[in-house]
Amino acid sequence: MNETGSPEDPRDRGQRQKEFVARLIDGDGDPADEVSAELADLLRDSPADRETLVEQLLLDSLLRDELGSESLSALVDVVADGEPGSQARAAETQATDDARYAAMTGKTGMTSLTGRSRPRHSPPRANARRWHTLGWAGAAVVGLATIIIGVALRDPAGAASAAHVIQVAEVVHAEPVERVYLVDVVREADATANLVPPRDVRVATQGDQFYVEMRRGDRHWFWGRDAAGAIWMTVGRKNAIVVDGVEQGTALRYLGDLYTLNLETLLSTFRRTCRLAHSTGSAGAHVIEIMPSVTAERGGIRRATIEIDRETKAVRRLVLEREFRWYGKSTATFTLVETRPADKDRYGPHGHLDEPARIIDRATSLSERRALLSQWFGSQANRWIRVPEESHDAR
Amino acid sequence: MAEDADRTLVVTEIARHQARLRGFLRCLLVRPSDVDDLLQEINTVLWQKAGDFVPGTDFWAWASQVARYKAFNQIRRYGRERLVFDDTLLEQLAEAASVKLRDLDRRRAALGTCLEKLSPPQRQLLELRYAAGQSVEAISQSIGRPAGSLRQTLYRIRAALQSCIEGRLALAEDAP
Repeated sequence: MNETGSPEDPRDRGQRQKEFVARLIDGDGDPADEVSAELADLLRDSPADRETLVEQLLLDSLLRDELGSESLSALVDVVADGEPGSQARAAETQATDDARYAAMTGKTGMTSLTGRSRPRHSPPRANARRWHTLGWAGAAVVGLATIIIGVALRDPAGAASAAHVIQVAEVVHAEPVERVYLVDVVREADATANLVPPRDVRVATQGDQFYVEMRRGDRHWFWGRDAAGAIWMTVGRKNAIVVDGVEQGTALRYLGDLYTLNLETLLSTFRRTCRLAHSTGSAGAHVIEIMPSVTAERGGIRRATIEIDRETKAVRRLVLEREFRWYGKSTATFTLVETRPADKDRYGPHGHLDEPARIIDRATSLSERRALLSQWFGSQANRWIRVPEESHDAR
Repeated sequence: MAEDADRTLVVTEIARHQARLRGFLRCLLVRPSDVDDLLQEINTVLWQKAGDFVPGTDFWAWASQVARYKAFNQIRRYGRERLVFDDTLLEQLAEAASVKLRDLDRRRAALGTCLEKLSPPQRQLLELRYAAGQSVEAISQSIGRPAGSLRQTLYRIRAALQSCIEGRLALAEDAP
């Protein structure tokens, strides 16, 4: 019955129910009390309406999990705290927390990680010095070659064309020299959600290889992406998790795309497939504006600006404006902060781990890896590994 | 040693059931902002009560009982300052949620496929709402559509996704 005492039209009831559910879910957490009250009246005698509400709420929860940005901040912030969940630290004592980690690591055959809060210093590795020597020797040789190539590639008119400048940079970046870039990412989603966590993200590159160091305070962790697209992440000093490309959930793929810097391929792609505009730049650098002719489906680069040092011929600043499906626009600025000899081990997980180290890959069950990711990167990180659709639900 | 192993098992199970627990709470709490706070309280309780869990039994059945108890208590506290669903209705919602949540992983996997089938404008709206985390009011201002109309559109998109998910689950069950 409606307010006038006449029988209620089922269409009106259905419409009201939809409106109330929509306001409940998308009223941004502050629905008026009357919405709850009226909806409760509708739901009490209608199992079908209750089921619809539950379906909508569960889907809302799943969509927040699948598309939300929490895991990204979890990676940056939560791991930095070494805590198993973004809010867990507020609810648990340190003693409980340590026990939890100890238990977790015991389960996966790892040693206790309860000492994780101490600043970590990498022990000297046997081959580090050798690479150091070889690296600088190689750099000297290749540096000389670069000068020669640079001269050879000089534009006859005297002003190097944008393509020439990039081509020389490609050669320079193939040297056995590691260049470290400080990364500043501004995401549209961060701006709208006021979600700009403090972070220090650095990408080390040599040729097409790269690894990322994320740091906050005295805590840091590493991750990278191999040639086959698998993402590895260190979890403490003894373990790393590897997630193959086909297993990667949307959020992890996005994160990988956002920070990946395969500089050699990127420069080559710019030179071969993009429109280049060579600005005058500063006294010390060429500045080249890059407009992709064809938008890559992955990576989503819409525009790039690259600064190449006139003396060293290396990229000293790169700005990538991109648009990712589901995650919107972002601008990533890579600024050269350090040049050092390359250490090839550090482009894989072993280079960041103390022996005996364990690489947790597909040989470890999906549920165990997801659990470990959740423990380290926050509860939402379990979606970084996709559940194959054909798999049966794990209770 | 056996106790350590049991605790390890509980830790793993707690982590594995986070999405399920969050979904369960989402069905009972009106405000999404309340969900994560309560979830962490429940995680703590599950950890403290790890000794009560009998290995080999259904973890979700145990955990969802703890979650239900904690949620109802919390909702009663909320009820002192604002209107909340009554216990009878909450019981009914909890029951419906429990049934749906049993195959959450398969629903999640199906959702990935179903999202691909949305039209570009539908995807864009979900992107703004969930990936960019914008409020409906903010989206409404930026694209010049009434908030009420956007809420209805979001409702319809979720309904379409739900229908797609159910279809895929049914298809999977029919498969030999």
